[in-house]
Amino acid sequence: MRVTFKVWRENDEVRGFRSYAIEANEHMSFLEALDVVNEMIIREHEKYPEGPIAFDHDCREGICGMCSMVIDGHPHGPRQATTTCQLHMRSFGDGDEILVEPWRARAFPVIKDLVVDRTAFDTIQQAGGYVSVGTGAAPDANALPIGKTVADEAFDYAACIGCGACVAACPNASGMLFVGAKVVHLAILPQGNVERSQRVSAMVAAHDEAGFGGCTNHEECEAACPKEISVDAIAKLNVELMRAAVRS
Amino acid sequence: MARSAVWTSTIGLKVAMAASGLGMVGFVLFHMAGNLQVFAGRDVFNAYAHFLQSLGGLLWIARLGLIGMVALHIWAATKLALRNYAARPQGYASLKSRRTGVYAKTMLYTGIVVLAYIGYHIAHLTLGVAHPEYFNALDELGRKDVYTNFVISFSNPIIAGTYVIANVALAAHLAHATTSVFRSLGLSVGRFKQPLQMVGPAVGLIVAVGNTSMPIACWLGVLSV
Repeated sequence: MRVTFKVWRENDEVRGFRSYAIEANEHMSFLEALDVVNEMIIREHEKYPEGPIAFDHDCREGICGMCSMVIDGHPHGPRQATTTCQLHMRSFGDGDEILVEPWRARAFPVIKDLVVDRTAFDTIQQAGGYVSVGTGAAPDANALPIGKTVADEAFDYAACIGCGACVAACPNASGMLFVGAKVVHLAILPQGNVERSQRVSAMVAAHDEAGFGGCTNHEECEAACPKEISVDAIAKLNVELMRAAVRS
Repeated sequence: MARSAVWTSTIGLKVAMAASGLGMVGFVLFHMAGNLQVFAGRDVFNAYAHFLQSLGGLLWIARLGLIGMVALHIWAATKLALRNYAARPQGYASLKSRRTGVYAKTMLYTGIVVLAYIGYHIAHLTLGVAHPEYFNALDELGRKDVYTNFVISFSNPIIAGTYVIANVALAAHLAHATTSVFRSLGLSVGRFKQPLQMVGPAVGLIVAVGNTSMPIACWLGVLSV
C-alpha cells in the first residue's frame, strides 16, 4: 500500500508540516511505517535535509505510554483503546494521506518534531501519586483483604499508562483524567487511604501549577484513552478534593 | 493545598460553577412553571404576579441570592475560560471530536447570549424600561395588569423572536450544564450515571418547549388581550 505521511517537523531548521510518501506493508505497525519513512529520509538525505523524524517510543506493546502523537485528528490514531504502537497500517487505506502531529498543550512543550516534554505528569505523580510505606519483602497476598469490587475498580484506574492522550484530546488541554485515575486508584485502597487528603490536594495543585486547563465535561479524554479509563475518575477526584478541603 | 487554594483550583472553580448553576437551573424551572400560568388567563396570571410582588423582603432575599449566584458563576467561568484558553497556545491542524457535542462546545457563547438576555428581560418585564407602554397598566381589580403587558409585548414579532432565540440558547446551555453539574459534584457515577446524563437534555427540552411556547402563543394570537 502507498501512503503519504504529513508530519509536523519542528527543529532548528524547520517548523511546519512535511510530506513523505512510502510503500508500506499493511501488517506493519504505525511506528514501523515511521521507521521506514526515517530510513528513506536517511537514504535520501539530500532530498530531505530536515533529517529523520524524532518520535517517542519504547515498549511497542501498548504498556509504556511513550508513543504519543495525534494521527488524523485522534490521539493514538483512529482505533479505540489502541496505542500508536499497536495501531497497524491496515487501519488505513491505499493512497491515504495521514496527518501526524505532536500533543498540543502548554504543559507539554514540543522538544522536537513529535516528541513532547511530559515532565509535568512526572511532577504531578511525584507530588503525591505514591504510598509512603516501608518497602521490603513482598507482603503476603492475603494479609490485607480487599473486596473484589474495590480491587477491580482500583485496577481499572491503575491501568493508566500516563501517555497524555487525555490532555491531547481535551479541548482545554486538561489533565484531569490522569490526575483522577492516579488519585482514585490509591484513595479507594486501604494502603492509599491514609494519605488520601494530602495526596489529592498536592496532585491537583501540581496539575494546576503545570498550566493544564480545567475539565468542562466533554468526555473526549475517556474516548481517547487507550486504556479506556472512565470519566468517573474525574467525578470521584472532585469529591476527593472537596472531602480533603472540608477535613483540612 | 491550603483550604482557600482549593476553592480557586480548577476543581474548586468547577464546583462553584456547578453549585451556582444548580441554583439557577432551579430558578429557571420555577420561573417557567410560574409564567406558564399565563395560559390560565388574565386573572390567574395577575394574581400570581401580585402574590410575588407582595412577598416584599422575601422577594429581595431571592433576588440577592440570584445576583450572587450569577456573579459567582460568571467569575468562575471567566477564570476557567482564560485558563483553558492559555492551556493550548498552539492548536492542532486537525483534532476530531469523538464524544463532545455542539451544546458543550458552545457553552461560553450561549452563556454570553443568556447574560445579555437576562439584562434585556429585566429591563423589559421587571423594570419596565425597555418597552414601557403597558408596564404600569392596572386590571379591573386594581392589580398591575402584567397579563396585558405580557401578551401585547409578545404580539410584536421582534420581541417574541428575541425571546425565542434567547431561550433556545438558554436551553442549549442547560442541556450540557445540568448533566455537567452532577459530574462536577461527583454524583454522576455508577448506577446514577446513566439517569443523570439524561437530566441535561431533558431539562434543555423542557425549557426550550416551555419558555418558547409563551412568546409564540402571543405572537400567533393564541393568547390575546
